[in-house]
Amino acid sequence: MKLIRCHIENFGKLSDFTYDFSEGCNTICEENGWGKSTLASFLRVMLYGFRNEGKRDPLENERKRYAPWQKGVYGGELQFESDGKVYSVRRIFGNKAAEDEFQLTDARTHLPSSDFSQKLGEELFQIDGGSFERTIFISQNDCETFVTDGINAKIGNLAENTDDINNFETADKRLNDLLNSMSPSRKTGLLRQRKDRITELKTQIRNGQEIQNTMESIDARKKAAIEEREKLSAELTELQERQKKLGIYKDQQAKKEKYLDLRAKMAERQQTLKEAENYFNGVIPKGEELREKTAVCNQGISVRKAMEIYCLTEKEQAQLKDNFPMADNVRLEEKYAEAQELESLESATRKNALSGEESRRLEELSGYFAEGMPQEAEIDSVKNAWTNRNEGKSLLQAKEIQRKTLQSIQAQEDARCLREQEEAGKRKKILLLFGILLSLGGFVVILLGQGLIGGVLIVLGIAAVAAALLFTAGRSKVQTGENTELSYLEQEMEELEAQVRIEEGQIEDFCTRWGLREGLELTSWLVELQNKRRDYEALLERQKQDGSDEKIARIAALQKDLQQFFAEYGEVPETQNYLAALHELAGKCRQRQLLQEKQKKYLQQKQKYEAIEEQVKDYLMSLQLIPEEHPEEQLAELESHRKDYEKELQELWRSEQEIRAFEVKEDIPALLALKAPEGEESLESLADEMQVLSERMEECFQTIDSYQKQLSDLQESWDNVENMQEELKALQEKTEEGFKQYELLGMTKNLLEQAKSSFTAKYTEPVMQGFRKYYRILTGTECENYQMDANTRLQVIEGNMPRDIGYLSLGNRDLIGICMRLALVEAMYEEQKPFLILDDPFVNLDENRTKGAMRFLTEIAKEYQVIYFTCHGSRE
Amino acid sequence: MKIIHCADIHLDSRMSANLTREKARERRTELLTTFRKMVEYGAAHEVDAILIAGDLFDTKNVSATARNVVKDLIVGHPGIEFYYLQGNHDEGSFTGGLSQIPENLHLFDSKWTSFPLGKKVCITGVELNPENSGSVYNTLSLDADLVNIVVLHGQESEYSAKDKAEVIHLTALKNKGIDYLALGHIHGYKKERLDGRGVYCYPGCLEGRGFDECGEHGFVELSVDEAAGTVESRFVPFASRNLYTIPVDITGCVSTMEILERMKEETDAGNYPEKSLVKYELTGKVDVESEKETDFLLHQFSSRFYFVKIKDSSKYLVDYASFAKDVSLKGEFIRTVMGREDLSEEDKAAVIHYGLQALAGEEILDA
Repeated sequence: MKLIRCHIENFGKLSDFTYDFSEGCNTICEENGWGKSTLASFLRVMLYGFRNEGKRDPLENERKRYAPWQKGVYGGELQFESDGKVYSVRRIFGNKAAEDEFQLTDARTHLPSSDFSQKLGEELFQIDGGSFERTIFISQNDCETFVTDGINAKIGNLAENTDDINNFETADKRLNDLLNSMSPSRKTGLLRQRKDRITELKTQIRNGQEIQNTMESIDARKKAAIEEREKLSAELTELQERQKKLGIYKDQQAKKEKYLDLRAKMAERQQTLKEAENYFNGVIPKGEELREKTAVCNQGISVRKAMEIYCLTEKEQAQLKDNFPMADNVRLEEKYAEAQELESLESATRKNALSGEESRRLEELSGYFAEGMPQEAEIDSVKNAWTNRNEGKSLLQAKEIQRKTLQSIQAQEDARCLREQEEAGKRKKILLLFGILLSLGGFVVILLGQGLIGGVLIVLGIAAVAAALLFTAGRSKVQTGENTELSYLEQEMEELEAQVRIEEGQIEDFCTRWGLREGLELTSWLVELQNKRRDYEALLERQKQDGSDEKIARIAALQKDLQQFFAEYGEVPETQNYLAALHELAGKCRQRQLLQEKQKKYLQQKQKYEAIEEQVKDYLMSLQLIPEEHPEEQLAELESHRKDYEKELQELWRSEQEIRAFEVKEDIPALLALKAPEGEESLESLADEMQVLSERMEECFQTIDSYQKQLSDLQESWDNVENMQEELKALQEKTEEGFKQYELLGMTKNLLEQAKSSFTAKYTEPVMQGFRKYYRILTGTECENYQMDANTRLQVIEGNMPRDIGYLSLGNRDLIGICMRLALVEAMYEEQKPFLILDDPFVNLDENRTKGAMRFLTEIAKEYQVIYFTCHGSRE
Repeated sequence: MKIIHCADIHLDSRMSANLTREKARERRTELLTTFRKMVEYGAAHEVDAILIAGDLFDTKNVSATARNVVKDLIVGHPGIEFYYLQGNHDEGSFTGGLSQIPENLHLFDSKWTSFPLGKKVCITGVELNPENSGSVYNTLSLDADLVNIVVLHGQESEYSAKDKAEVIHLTALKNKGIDYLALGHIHGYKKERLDGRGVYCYPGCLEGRGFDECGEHGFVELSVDEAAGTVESRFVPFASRNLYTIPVDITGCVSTMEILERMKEETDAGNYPEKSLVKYELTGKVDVESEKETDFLLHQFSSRFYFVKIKDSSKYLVDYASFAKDVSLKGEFIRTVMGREDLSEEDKAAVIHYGLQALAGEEILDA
């Protein structure tokens, strides 16, 4: 491959610059500042692009550094040959890579070509930019070289295998980094950290073992406390047993005491009963009988009290002894009726008797009404007639005024009608005449042949005649109406006057009959007449009621009969108040009757009492007792003693029953043989002991609980220890695995390096041969002190020791570098040789070496197209 | 008559091996709740007795909550008789803290103790210890006319082992008239014939606690026909959550996404409930150049289940033949590694994987 032509539009200071390359060596010898390095850079940039685009420094950032000084299009064109084909690549650079333009064309056809992409350098030379600058491109002051992965890959024909030797350095670095990160010796190393953690965990776990000991110790104490609690529990059980036994003894003892007490009480009851029995004289009254006799005795007391009540006083006895005649009730009732009738008759007589004034009045009225007496209705009728007559008179006066008014209106109306009739007669005649004429006219017109007009005229004529006739009729009708009203009024007045006359006739007859005095007002007279009539009737009635003969006779008969009745008792009443006298007599009779009854009852009670007294005495005698003055007290005392006796008897029976029940229920012989348990303990002392034990047990519970809590806390701590143990175990496993990985990784690194050395060693010798060849050309001497290690690193033997060429002088380093580059290029490109770009690489060589360099140029130009830049003719 | 046989409930178990502290606490609560629900199940199904064949508690130091809940459940269900045989974990942990043993709680000790239940059932048990483990078998005497349920806690064994308290000598228990040997200690359900008359049964734990206790857990419900003298038993799954280990063969997978697909297939096929605790175990061989990221895989399933864990047990497969004549650094590297006779095949595979991952710019370590 070779360069044919380049054209720079603008690149750094170069502008519109064209250069045609030839075969062999193309020497561009220009002064400093001409732009040689810029041109060399242009060639490199056209192949590999800019370096250090990310740098800010314009000197390091090539895109900025080579920006056109004079502005214009930034870029250019490069024509080259590869595999017999000529291509033209054109690149225009923008401010950034994304703005760059790239165009590859076939130089012969001028058609775009896709044989290479923008990565033109890599594809053309099969090495990266770095490797290009270490081999094909030798820049000023950078002649030294070293073997990159790209160079190795190219030499080993592995340039296209991306995961192989070209990645060795990266892989080696990553392995190294990984080993460092895992390092067991570095502080930051994972394995070192794990080891430290393991040590820490072991220490903590070792310390934690003490927890286990403590737990065992506490557990032992807890067990001892549990044993103690169980022991106390057993003691408590025993005490409870003893308490139970003692309780049973106490119960039995109480029962024994109760039994003995029962027996003692029974004996006491028997004694009391005997004493109660002694009161009676061998005969114990039966309760029912005694109660019966007591009741009888009590009845006797009641009877005695009744006797006392019915016993007559001396005065009463004297009363009973006189011969007072007793009146029976029927007769007394009869006399009562008579006395009442008498009183009633006498009272009526007293009430109806007329006074002197009344008698005179009666006499006067009898004279007044000697001819008869007007009826009440008659007087009322005259009163009404008088009222009607007065009203009729008043109405007549009013109607008279109305008649006069109507007569006046009638006179006026008649005069007006007369005038109107005259005028109306005239109009009627005219209208009648007009109608007749119109009708006649109509006939004439009909006759003349105008039927319709003639008909109309006849109709109008008839209408006019009819109107004249109707007008006359209306006027006559009005006149008739007014006359009727007046005649009605006059007729009414006539009827009213006739009625008034009738009324006046009736009044006049009445006044004439009953003598109305002249000058007396009619109405007042009628009232006076009415009063007189009523007085007369009342007086007549009273006179009629007062003092008939039958009545007087009856009064006398009754008085006589009653006087005879009272005469029987020698007590005729002076005041003739028979009713009161009868009351008094009836009282006396009743009093006597009561005394008799009292006397009778007394005798009855006395008999009864004597019978009772006898019965009680007999009873007491039957009880061997001497009856005393008050047998009721004797009987009460007897009852009291009998009750006491009965009660005692009952108590004794109850005691006996109780004892019998007790004897059935309990084992009496065993109770009587009961002995106190040994020892002097009491239930109280046992309870105290149990209390103490319970308290101790409670303490034990608390102690156990406390141990339990401690154990729980310790268990938590122990759980942590166990967690640490688990962590330790897991960590140890991981660490062991990590160490294994670390070891294998170390081995991987070594074996990979070993493989790399082994792999590169295969082309070390050909490279070394090339080096020797170019060294000889350049220096004219054989290369003896240099050797190449397996990593293709050149070393110089100084003092029998291989040393890095960095120890050599700058000139020697450049010389060796140039030789090494050529040796590598030779090894890399066995078939198609690349062009070489040498940017004044011999500047540091001395004069002799410079001559050798010229030979070197001549020699390599035989095989390679060389683009050589220099600024000095000596190196041209 | 109905009886519940349970064992190895391990209340107060820490369960922090896999779980976070919060989830471990939640699981402890769930364990206690499941025990409560089991007792309530018993009450609802008119169960006469509950046999607890050891390890009711996980530690000697029982928490106050667990102790009170268990005590209150026993006292609160006077219609159920509780027969509690202590195991190797809970020796004295519960009863030592009680001031009074509830009337319906029956305890065993180091000598055979029998409790009659109903008219024809006899429950007999002994707590094994180094002193009595050799002699208990000779002293067991049962009435053949009764339905005999024997309770023990220990590891089943056909042969007796000297001084090993927790070994149950099954041979010595044959032909003793046992109808049902209620055992505890093994954490998975197991029921086998003991002899011509009876069976022995481990109900397993009530809730799985770790991935060594995968699958369904619960208790055994016995139906005793007293008239016929027969015992029928059935396992009742009762755990609130189950644990599952899902093996996923990732052979042939070359990327994390392919492994994810394989895991999804296995998960869907198993139809595991969301509340489960799941451990994926990646097995098989994957190409040494394959890529797998277990953190990513874990994240994909973490929201699907209550708890997820991934164990990568897969191996790398190196196709040596393809690199035998490869002129490249890789080929050279693989040949160099394979030439190291001091390395095991597994280590070689690992080294090759690391090297290739490094060259490819991928994560060198899987997780």
